[in-house]
Amino acid sequence: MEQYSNKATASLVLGIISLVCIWFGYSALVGVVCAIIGLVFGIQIRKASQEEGFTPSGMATAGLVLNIIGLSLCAVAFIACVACVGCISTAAYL
Amino acid sequence: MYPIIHILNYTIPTFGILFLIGTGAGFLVAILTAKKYDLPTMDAMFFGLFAIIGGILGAKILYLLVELPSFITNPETALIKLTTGGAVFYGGLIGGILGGFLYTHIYHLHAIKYFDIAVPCLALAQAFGRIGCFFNGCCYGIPYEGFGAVYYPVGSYPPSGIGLFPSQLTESFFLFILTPVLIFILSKSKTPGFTTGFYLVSYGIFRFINEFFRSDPRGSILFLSTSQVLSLFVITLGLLFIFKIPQRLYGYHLKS
Repeated sequence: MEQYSNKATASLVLGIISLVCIWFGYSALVGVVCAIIGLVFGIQIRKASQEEGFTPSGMATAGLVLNIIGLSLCAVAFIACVACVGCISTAAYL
Repeated sequence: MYPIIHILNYTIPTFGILFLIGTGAGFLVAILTAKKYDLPTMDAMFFGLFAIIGGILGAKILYLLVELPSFITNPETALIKLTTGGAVFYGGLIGGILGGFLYTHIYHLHAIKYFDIAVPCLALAQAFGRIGCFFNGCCYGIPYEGFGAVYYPVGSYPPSGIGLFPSQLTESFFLFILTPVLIFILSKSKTPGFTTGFYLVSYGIFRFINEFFRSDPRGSILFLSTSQVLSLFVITLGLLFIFKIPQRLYGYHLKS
């Protein structure tokens, strides 16, 4: 159980970092990376709780939610266009 | 052309907003489509999240590969391009498939059923994303002066002052039509994987044709664009799904 507790803490911390990164321009890239790692931890805890029959801690749930929000908001700034090659039209404005 | 919008003191890329709306709409559709195979909603959500993570990584990695020569010649703009610049849809698609497959592999779930429920959501998210392209000014069409021609203002990314074919909106329109069609096929289909195959074939064919009406600078292989070559692979993969070949191979994999 301790490994899940550590992962829950890591997930929460990474979620907070990703939310902070939203406000600092290019650091959104760091935010995306943090949110992805935190999200993987959060999902691991959720699935383990389902399979092993324990209730995930509030910290784990908070981490999962913060990472989802962090990934969504960082991605808004980070992803310019997933549909074409070489779109740099927004770069001048950022 | 509105590549950015202003909310309070912040400038937010319009594409990002529409990407977020599309993803949200896709997750809502997943709640409906997950009922088809009685899959837990939580698993469908996590599958989607893994697919998004894989998609983001795949889109950027393929972009990096396609643009590598320009990054080497202009290293000073490489980081800006990488953080704010483009990504490649097919890279996202391949990365998304691998990400989703990884989730089902780790937790021993039936991957093909999850792909079936995911494709209508993906089509809807793409449809919104293409509207984002339209506002962004990227993925613009060839010069055209007929019905629905788009005139971008002076100073925008696409050529201004001439009519352009609305290639982003045609693709968006196609995908908005494709989404309910895929949901209908999913509800009626008795073969896992058929909906995925239908999506891959129909989107691949449309994208292959639509590429002829695009004139934005992008990579090419021989006389076809990179996306057209990848479209041919996607169509082939879709046909394999329709003829149940991946399903059989996956069945052997599950048994072993």
